[in-house]
Amino acid sequence: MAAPLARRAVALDGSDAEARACLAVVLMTRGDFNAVQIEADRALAVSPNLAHAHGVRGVGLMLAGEREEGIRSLMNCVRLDPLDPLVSLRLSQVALGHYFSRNYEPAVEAAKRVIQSYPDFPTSYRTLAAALAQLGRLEEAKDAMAKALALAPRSFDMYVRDRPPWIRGEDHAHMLEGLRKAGWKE
Amino acid sequence: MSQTRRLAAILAADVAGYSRLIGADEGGTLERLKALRRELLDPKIAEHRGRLVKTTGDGLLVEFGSVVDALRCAADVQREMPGRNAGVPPDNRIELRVGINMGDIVVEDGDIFGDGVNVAARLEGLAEPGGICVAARVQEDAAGRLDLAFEDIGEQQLKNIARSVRVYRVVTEARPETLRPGTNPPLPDKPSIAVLPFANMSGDPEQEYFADGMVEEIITALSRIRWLFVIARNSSFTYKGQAVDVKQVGRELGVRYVLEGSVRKAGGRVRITAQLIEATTGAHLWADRFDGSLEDIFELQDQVAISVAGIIEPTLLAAEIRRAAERPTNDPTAYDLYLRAVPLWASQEKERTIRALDLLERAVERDPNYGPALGLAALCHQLLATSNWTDNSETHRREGVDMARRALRCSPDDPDVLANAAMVLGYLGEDIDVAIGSIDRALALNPSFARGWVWSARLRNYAGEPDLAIEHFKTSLRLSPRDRMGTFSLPLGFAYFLKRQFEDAAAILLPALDQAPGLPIAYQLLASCYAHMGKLDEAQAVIERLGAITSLVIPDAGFLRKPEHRELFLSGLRLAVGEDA
Repeated sequence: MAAPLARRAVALDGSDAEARACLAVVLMTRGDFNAVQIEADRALAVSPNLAHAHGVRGVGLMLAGEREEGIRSLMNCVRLDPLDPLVSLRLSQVALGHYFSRNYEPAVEAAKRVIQSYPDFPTSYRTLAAALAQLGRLEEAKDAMAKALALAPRSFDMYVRDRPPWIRGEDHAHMLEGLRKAGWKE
Repeated sequence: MSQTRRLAAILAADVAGYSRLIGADEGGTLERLKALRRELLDPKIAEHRGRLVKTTGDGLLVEFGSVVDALRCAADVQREMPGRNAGVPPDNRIELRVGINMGDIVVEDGDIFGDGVNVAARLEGLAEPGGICVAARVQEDAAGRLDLAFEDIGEQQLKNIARSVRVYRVVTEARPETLRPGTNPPLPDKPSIAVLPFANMSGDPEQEYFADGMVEEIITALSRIRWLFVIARNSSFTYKGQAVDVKQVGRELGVRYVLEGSVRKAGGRVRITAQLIEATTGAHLWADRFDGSLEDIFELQDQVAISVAGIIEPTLLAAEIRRAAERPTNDPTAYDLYLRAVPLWASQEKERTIRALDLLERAVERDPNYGPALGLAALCHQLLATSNWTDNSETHRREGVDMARRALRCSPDDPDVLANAAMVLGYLGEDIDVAIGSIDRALALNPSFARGWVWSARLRNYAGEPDLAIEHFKTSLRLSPRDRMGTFSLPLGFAYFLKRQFEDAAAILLPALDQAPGLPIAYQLLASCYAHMGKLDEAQAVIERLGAITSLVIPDAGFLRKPEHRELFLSGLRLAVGEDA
């Protein structure tokens, strides 16, 4: 449903940067990172200040394995739109990028910062729990895991038990490894 | 009983909504409070060298030897609390309010008394749940020594305290943009702007939608300008409905410039006012108003948005040029050098153009892929070549073409670069269709690019399309009626000349000599125009003035692609110098 509508919006006005950024988001949910980057770059060619396009480009690159550039793009998005309610999502993606890069200390720091500003946002607790566990800080990891489960137990079905199409197999396995160390039981 | 006095920092804290929490779950709340003491409060007090004086059921009093220790302790605790409350329903959350004062206290049997303690307790009462309030003395001692920001909430009359106390709220929330708490984002490395929601002064709530839509259109239009940093709509609109201090907005969003405005409706018409402010100084850079009919609000929104974006671009460029000129010159960046070159090139005078080229070459040395510097350097080479201002015009011609192509390779999506490169390639006789393709792309990327429309007018003249040239020049005039940096009105006069409307052309070209007194083409065109009008004396007088700036009276007219246009231009010049047409 979303993809045909997004494509139609782009077909109606190919120079509409917002439409292209929306199409990129739709492509993201399919895990088509190459197409995400193409559409996001096209959006940014028209509107280099479009925060949304920086964000979707960043998460696409991060999930595709280009962590450094992805995190840079995500931070561009946050800088251009610092008070957007969706900032929590972008920052949690930054934390995830650090985790996938096995930079666990920055992942812990980034996740804690998100939690400090957005304590009800569940994703960051999962990343925090996994990163703390990978660092061997098991007590803190278990505490974060408990909070993640308390905040959004069903999100574990959606994002942990099943691998979302936008997370690569090796990254998903890496996350499972951290969560198991943090005490998660399937 | 021994009684002593000393100066101390006093921290008073209490649990917000304690009675409600106890009423709802006495046992659970007390357990959680014990855990809070054990796991967070006591360790943090010890870590920061505090002394727990007493607890009061719902609160505690702590003495510190320094305000820095007291503030660090309070900030650490408050930053940890959201994490502890995660997953807890809002009504069941334990949230602390903290007040800190610095003052003389009386110590007796381990307890503390006095005004200093009382003020701390009252400050605690002023704090929001999760917040910290401090007295001015604490703020003064701690300012600049901690990674915290303070918000002045003014003089407060505290209960049972005779004098009023100036109070500051401590900002402990993480600033998401930097991931560092209490700090404002730094200014970006390019000009930055936030467009605030326009105030609806009409008293008609319906106009909110109109005003908001227009501001969104302005943000969209400005967002296309590559050399600008534009805060996104969602962040700008968090200020909606608030009376805000522009300087504060500038700090919070990390931008140098702020655009604000208002909408006022009367009958079927609407008046929009807008003003551009330098947030750091509060200086007004530009203000204007736009009137329109509400019959077609989308049309009006588009029109105002494109006009505002069109005028803001040159206004901000001029402001940035002034700032660059005022900065110390020891180690200028490529951007500084570029900014300093812009007005020199825009003068369209020989010596200044040579100086501009020197600055741009230094900019390119620092950053060989800096498209805007390459594009402007190409324009300088083109001007030097076509005005015959040096002995090596052919070298400048080649350099101009090379630099224009390099600029396009480095910045293929930058409208400014596309336009400048197109101008150079079009003027220097390269494929005119390629040049027009580039300028069209520049204008598609940024329709409010006033100078781009002027360049388009020039290229249309060269291609033999004077009617389109007139249309595009008038578009540029609507966008930027006053600022004509480096563009002047020559293309309009040129278009009338090509259409053989010599009277109209001369009326525009004559004042253009004052606008660009060092530019040979202005004299050559006017002389040719006068000659075709039969005003040979006037034509010869213009040729005499031309002699003061160049020895080349009859130039290569290869830039005009239509043979009849070349002949029109050259035959007039030949008449002007006394040759047979």
